[in-house]
Amino acid sequence: MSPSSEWLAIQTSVGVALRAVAFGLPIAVLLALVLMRSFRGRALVDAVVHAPLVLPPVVVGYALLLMFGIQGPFGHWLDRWFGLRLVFTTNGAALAAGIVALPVMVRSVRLALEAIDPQLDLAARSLGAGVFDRLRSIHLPLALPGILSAAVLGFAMCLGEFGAVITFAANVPGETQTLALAIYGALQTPGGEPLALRLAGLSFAISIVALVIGEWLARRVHHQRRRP
Amino acid sequence: MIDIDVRATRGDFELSTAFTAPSGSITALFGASGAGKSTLLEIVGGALRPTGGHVRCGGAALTDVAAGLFVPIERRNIGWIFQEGVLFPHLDVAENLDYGARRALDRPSMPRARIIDILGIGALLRRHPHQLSGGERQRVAIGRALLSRPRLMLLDEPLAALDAPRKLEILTLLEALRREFAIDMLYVTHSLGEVLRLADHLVVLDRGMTVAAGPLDNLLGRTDTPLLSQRPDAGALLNLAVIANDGIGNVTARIGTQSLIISADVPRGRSVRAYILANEVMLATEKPSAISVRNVLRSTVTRLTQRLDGSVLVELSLEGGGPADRLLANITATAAGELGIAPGRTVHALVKSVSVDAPAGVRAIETA
Repeated sequence: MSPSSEWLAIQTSVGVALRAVAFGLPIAVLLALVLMRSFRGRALVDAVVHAPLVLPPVVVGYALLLMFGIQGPFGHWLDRWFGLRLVFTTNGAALAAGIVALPVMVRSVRLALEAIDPQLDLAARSLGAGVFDRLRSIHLPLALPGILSAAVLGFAMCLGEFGAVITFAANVPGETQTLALAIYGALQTPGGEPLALRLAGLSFAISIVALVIGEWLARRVHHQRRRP
Repeated sequence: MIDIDVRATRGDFELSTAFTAPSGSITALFGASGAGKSTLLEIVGGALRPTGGHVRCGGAALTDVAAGLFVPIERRNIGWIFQEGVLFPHLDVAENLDYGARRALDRPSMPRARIIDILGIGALLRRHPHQLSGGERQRVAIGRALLSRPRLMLLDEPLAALDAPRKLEILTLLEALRREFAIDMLYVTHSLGEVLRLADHLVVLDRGMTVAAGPLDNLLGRTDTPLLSQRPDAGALLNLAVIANDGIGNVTARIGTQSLIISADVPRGRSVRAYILANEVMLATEKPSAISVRNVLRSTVTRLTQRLDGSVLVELSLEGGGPADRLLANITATAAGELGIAPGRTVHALVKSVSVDAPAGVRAIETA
């Protein structure tokens, strides 16, 4: 593997993680909002959302393969109507990583939403704010630190996701070969240990940078609220 | 005009209450904890659906169970004040103040600068809620509610979380605001002091039922409302016209054909509300002479009520006064028996004149 293929692995990893968070975060916020209400079948939705947390990632990848494979019900439909193939593509890797990270993101957003004093909602209602108005003006701004931390956590998780990605999207360099997969590949290659070590260092560095940026953003939000 | 007639259940608690209050009045919902005051407030505010009845305010129906009408909270146009000023923590004071106003553009706006001035929050506009004291937060919350031009303000024990000086400060502000803006208020409290200071209408709740409702001065001298008559601070409220001020801290106030001397500094021609504690009134069957008490009022005994502590609460009608001019005297059962205190008997009520700030006795509150 040349230095450019290390760069390729980083690009793939970051691309996969960014896509997964970009699509996954709005869905996580939506799910968190839905799960805060009580409705029939809430427990079922809750279980489905949280399943990837307890299932082996390989099982998640296999389930995605069954559903989003070219022959699968969703995969067939996506291919036919949008020409979109997920298997063996970066988008597919992002889907697999995103599904595994989703429950953690949902949980982080939900905790932040639930920490909001219900009297604030009542006060906003009494001042004439409807449901979407309150979501925009009260709930989302107050949950912003939780949403940011969901994004950072999700990003870090997607960088490292292995089982679901390799099962669903395979190990295609430049397409689906993320850092974790590249490290595994290097270790399988005779004499690949130095490369594996370098890749592991890079992986560590990216995760730390992501966490620092996340912390900085959260502090900024916090600081804005407490400016003198 | 508030017109409320509702029934509701919450767990095994049942609320069933009906009363009306005129426009421009402050109605106190008074009662012990668990009497249903806050539940009633939630029904009026739209946070709880009653099982029956209606809530009308200023001619508009907000809830009418029979007609299937239930206006959601955000369309009720009600200013809701909680125990602790519930401000939006991510917005500064100015943004908090304008939150309701920006959503009430269809209604004529309130004089923002004037309200900020009365509330004394002009210097706080760029601060965030965590930088405010409890009293300041409550003032901003009141301003925010007022600026949304509510048809009715709901105040849920707004002073409960404040210390005594802050309580007085907010009470004074509420008085100033009601004088200037004449907004109907429903005021939940279990403090008789707050009722006396602010309310002109009183609804007494006990275990989910209305035990008394009506104008304040009509209710307070009545002995048939146990919640009031059993209290150690039971007493009567008198509306008096000041006819003289001696310039050294005493005023003479007219009540019917008799007069009362009160330690207060109120100019001639003003009217005062004086709350006279039953414990501060003594009775004599003959006109006493050579005593230090200067207020001796001829009255007729109208009713005797046995209190749980064994004493007797005597309801008196002041000679030459109107039907609302009543006094209450708390005496021992033995004294009542020995003096032959019975309905119809003419007695002399001895009222000690005590200063306005004194913890007990005659408290004069300037009303106009």
